[in-house]
Amino acid sequence: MATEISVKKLRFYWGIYALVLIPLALVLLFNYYPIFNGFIHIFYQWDGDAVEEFTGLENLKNVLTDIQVWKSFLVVSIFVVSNLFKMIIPITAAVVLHHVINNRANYVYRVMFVIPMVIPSMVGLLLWKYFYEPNQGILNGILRSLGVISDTDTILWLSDKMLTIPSLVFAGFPYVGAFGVLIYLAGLQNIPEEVYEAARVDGASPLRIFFSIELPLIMTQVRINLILMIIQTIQGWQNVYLYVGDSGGPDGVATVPGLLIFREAFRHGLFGYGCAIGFLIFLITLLLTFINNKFVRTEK
Amino acid sequence: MKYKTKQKICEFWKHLFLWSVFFFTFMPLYLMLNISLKDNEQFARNPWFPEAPFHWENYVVGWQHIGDKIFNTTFVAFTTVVLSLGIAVLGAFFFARYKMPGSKFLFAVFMVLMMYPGVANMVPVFKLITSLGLYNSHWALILSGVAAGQAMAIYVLRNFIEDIPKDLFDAVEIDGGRVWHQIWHIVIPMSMPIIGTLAILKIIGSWNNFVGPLLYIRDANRQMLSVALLYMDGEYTKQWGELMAGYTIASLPLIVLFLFCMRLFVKGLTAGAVKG
Repeated sequence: MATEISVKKLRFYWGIYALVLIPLALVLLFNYYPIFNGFIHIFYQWDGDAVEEFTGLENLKNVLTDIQVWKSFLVVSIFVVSNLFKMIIPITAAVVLHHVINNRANYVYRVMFVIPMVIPSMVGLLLWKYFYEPNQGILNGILRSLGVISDTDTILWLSDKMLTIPSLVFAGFPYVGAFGVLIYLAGLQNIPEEVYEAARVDGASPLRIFFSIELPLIMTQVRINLILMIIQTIQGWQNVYLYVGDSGGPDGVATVPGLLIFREAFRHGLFGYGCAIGFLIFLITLLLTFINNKFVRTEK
Repeated sequence: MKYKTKQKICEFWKHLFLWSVFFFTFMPLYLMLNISLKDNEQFARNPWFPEAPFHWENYVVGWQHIGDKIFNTTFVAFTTVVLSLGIAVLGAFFFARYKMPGSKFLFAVFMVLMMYPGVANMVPVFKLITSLGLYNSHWALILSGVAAGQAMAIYVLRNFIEDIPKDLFDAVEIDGGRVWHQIWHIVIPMSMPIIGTLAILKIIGSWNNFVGPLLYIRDANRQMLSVALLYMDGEYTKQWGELMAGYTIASLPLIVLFLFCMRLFVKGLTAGAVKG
């Protein structure tokens, strides 16, 4: 319970504010000041250095009429939707693991699900980049030895315009590297045994138990992961940068908003333009948060 | 009897499913270890299975490329974690224990940041780092990392500290213990499980941070692991064995850490991550 301190008593207790001073100073300097500074520079032509010229709504107008900005948001929505489907395997794995009766095996499996989490994500991404490598990569190697493509053929997984986005989506299969499996498992472990017993007495099939009991009862975890996934996907650009470089692939097909900011600001020196795209991302996130709060209530 | 057979078959399918998930999950890691001991000729002929002679010298080359980056990354990750949680505990204690005038507003100042997408701030934060003279310094990564985690850490820790029984604090207060004593003798020991979980998440996050080092660090010898690995992949006239040896070395520190505090990992990540 918190001790309430009124305004009258404040002069004896003002020292307590010191506790929150350092974290506050840090977020003011590293979060709020840049937000403010970025917002101001939407209205400037700015190269991050000497050139700083007020241009009014020029940047915003350019952003809103720039076809590649809208395309980048389309690409990122493709990633969000595909990541939605990627949640199926971790959920299934958690449910199956929860039903493994042997305690020893259960513990070993849980430990095995932690290992992919502690592998640096960069290593995981680069290993998949090697799988996609056209000449010596594993994927084309398999296809060659199966006779799907001839020995001299290569499939350009990452640099064929049609394949770039599907390849980026598929990388990382079976997607259990994040915290997903263990979080769902924690939710499943909270389901009381009585619920299962009641269901069994009523003769519910395992499938029925999954859809009528388990899935609804781990919905909190599913929602947490869903929200985290959406936030991360909208912000993410390192996998695209890693696989196809800052051009965003052939004709820039896989350019996502984050990559676009990076390219415009740090490659073309258009800092103000980058700030404007950032502001657009912020507005869209705000909209999504609003929708989430309005329609997807998480009861605590 | 019949029921038992049925159950056994059912168990079999569960194990089969999990093992097939593990198969695909660990396949890349197996190939990494496997290829790390081959030279290019062996790799081209037979990438799938281990085969003598094993080229351990690949690891020497891999170490030359990223050995010093491991020290950089370790320094940055651990400094970030210690500072970040040390500061967040103070903030969380403030919000959990006192209702000061303005507390609500201050709390909102932190919570709003949880909704702000960091990527939108990429350009102005870079500008800030350069104007503070932190460009190309590890402190750019540490300070931005510490600031980035505050909202989440304070939120989680506050919930946890609020659940500590008030009697404990009263006891310390009666014994004449000031705020520092309360934090040191009650808050930190009592919230160790959640601090452990947050620390693990923060270390993993810091270890994987890619955008920060890419933007703020220029010199190759000051670079972090993640960017160094990318450079290694890019510049190299591909010696696959050496490349994979580099990846393996880069993966080892966290795996070793994991082995040492496995219990904390498995428990913390299952329970703590959700309950908060």
